[in-house]
Amino acid sequence: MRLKVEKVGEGLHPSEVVVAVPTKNGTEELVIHPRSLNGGRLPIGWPVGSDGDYRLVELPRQTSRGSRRVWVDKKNLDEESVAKETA
Amino acid sequence: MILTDREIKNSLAAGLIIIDPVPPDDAFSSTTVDLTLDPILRIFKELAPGLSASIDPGLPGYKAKDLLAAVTDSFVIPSSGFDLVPGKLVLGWTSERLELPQRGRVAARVEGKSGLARVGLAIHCTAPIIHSGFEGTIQLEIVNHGPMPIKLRPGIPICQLCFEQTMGMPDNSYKGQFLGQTAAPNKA
Repeated sequence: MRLKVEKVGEGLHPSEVVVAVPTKNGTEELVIHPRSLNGGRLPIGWPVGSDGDYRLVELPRQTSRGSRRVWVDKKNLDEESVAKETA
Repeated sequence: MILTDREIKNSLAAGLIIIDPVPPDDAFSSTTVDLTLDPILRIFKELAPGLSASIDPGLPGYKAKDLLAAVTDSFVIPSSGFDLVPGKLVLGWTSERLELPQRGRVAARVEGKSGLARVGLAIHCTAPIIHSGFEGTIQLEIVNHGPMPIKLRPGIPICQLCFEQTMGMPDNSYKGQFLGQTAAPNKA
């Protein structure tokens, strides 16, 4: 499963970039390794919850506000990779 | 259940744990593997005399990364080393990139090394857990709690990783269990 994110800056170290994740409760930012980003998408686990059009997903690292699990719009989840990974 | 050196090496060979570059044989102990210090540090700027400031994580819009970018400077440790004076905090990173794929069913803890701890060097501030799914270098919060400066050099074994097998699979490893489902109504 991959989540659409937006790179918003460099991290404090060359091995880090900062990405923004739109969530139900506003935009969250987290630091990731540049290799994690593939076409603006971040590999994540499978959703652990569902509420209407939103899915509860666990991010690979804490956001700058300390969240690990965030509600994201399902349209930002890569359904194509879901099909590939479940095949 | 903590992984032994044999199990860590088996997991590395199977791609269930990825450490890049792979640590040399002498970096392993029975239940841990050492990682080394990257040359780049972030050093906190000194406040000018008379200036008072504090960090307020509770403020709306607080972003740790932006704040740290503003109050620290990047510094490359020279080959002669960098003296970390008592009471000071610097941010560092491991030279190695760690990846814990979800399928590995492994989480890790980053811990200090006893030889460094005895002279007062701590490498994290109460945040040692590395979750399954992590990828990247490990950021270290390095503090000298000792009475004398401690020289940091690039490439020194600075921390150790302890790997733990998870009991079962976390929710996010079960494929699509919530896909297409709707949540149960909230119970007020």
